Amino acid sequence: MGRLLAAILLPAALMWAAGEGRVEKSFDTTREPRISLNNLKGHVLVRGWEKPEVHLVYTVVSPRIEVDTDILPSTGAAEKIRFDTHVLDSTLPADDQVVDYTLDVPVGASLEIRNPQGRILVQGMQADASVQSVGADISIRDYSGRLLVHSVAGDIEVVRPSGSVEAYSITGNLHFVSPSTSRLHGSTTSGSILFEGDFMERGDYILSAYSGDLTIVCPSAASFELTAKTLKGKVINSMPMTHRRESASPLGASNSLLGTRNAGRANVDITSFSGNIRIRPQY
Amino acid sequence: MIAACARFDAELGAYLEGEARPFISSHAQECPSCDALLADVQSIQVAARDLPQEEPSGGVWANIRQSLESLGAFGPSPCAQFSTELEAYLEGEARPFIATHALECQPCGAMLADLQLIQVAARELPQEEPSGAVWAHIRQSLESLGAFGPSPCAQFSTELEAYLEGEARPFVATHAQECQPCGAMLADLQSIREAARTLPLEEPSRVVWANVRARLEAEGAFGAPVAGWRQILSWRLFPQPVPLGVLASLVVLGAMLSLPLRNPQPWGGPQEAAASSSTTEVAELAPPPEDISLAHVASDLEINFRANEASMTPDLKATYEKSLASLDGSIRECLDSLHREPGNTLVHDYLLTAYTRKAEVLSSALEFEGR
Repeated sequence: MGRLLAAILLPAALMWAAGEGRVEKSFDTTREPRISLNNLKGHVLVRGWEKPEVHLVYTVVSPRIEVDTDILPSTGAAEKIRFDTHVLDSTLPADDQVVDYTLDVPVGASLEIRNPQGRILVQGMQADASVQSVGADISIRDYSGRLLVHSVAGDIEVVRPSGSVEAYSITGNLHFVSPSTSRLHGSTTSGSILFEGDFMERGDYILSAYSGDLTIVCPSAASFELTAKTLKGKVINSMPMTHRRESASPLGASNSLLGTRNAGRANVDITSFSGNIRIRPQY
Repeated sequence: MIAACARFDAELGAYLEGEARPFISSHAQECPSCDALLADVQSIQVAARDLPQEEPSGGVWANIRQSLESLGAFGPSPCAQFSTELEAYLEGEARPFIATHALECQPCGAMLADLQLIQVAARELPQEEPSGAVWAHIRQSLESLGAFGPSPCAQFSTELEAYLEGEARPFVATHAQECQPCGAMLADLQSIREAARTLPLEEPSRVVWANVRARLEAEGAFGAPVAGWRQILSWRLFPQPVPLGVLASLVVLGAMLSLPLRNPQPWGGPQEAAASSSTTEVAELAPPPEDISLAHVASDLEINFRANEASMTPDLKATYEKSLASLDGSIRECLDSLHREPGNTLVHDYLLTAYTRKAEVLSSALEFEGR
């Protein structure tokens, strides 16, 4: 097919014939290519490196599953690469629809990863990324680009992000560790949220859970304006603050806290319906 | 005064709905700007009551759709430009947009590659007169690519936006006189524009957008990745046409959510009652009138989900079921709370969020059914 442009279509059956389920490929790219990966099930690991090159290793569990690769343009350094997992046999049991990917990509690559049922780990990248799962956990580490992370039921962990972060789940937990970002939004319905780190000056941090608990653990020197509200839970604060008053708030003192810590240089907005909210210093 | 005005703004909606809000009247007497606002809104309310309750004609919806299409609201306009310029590019004209867009857009890139292959292959073919059927097929294909240039109506659509922006486009006025549908559309748009000038400039709430989005998602109208939660909903590759009825529903939906409801419909008709009995217990509790549309969207999506869930792999299905159960629990709890405290805006916010999340999760699930 001409439009596949230097595409690599590797029939898994041939690999099996050769006794091989592991495939390794490299592609020359620009320094900021767009990489997309659509998998069904299996682990996905993406790491940033300094080379203008994508190095792909994947392992298929069954010969009845294949990986398509589309590359644009057809010659020269690739600007866009797309990896798609396809099931060749619709009767293939779900447990055999597994492809594990390991990708080393330029740090400036933008990513779009969809892996409904497998853990995703992305680390050391600098450009925008959209990472999505349905039932599996997602871990993002040392990411300086704009992040959109979604998992319907999996936990989401974001470690040392420095770009803006949006992370959402329904039943999964959210865990933010040492962020140096000035924009962080996290939301879960029945999961919990744990934020460990400081707030950037003029930063905007919005965390929301429905029934899960929210915990903020930050340095004593942290400077922020806090709005914490929970309808049926409690706000448990162990960091001294200058309290503000809000007119016409239906909430009582035990489930609402509006306060200023130090100079109040960041805005922190935390809400829950029935979960507890805890704010405590980092030791 | 600023705080009082803020309170005025916060209570105004309830006051206009007929709730006892003595602060509104007292503040309006003290604050000229709020008093003027109140007078304006009440005038609009009175005028709106006098309007006939008529369903816009099918022609109006068609015109609105055509107009929105001409404004690039439904389709990837770069792809339309690509289609427009493609013929000239293949003829050898310098059209840098074609190459650029082909790199960015996989379907257009694929189409260009295919056509170039055909072009190359065609050069090597013997010089024979193709049959009439071949010409017919070629013509049909080129027509589908928009290769024959704009019809007068297409040109009208193309120039309409600029005309409405005030640019001199004599063709628009001329064609509107010659072509009845285009003339009707222009008249409608001008009427809408005039009416819109008198409306307050307000951003629709996030609920409106969530509803519109969820309904379009449910109809498969999106293919390109977008930001936020919505991204998880758009796992299809290509956009699909949106039926006119859906668009009409969206407009009605948006209107229902944007305007105060004077005569809210009962929650769920007989058909929905039958359907909902097999779907969720949440529907047994009536949402507030202003949330009914959003609840309907979630309900419709759930009906679709239930109708097709057998095609989903068991573990994926279990994941979605767990999430939906969590969201249903949230909705139920919020509805309970609202029935006890109808004025609790925080609970209401949580209810809206839960409905929106449910619609998003169901849309995501529908993308996986059958995979």
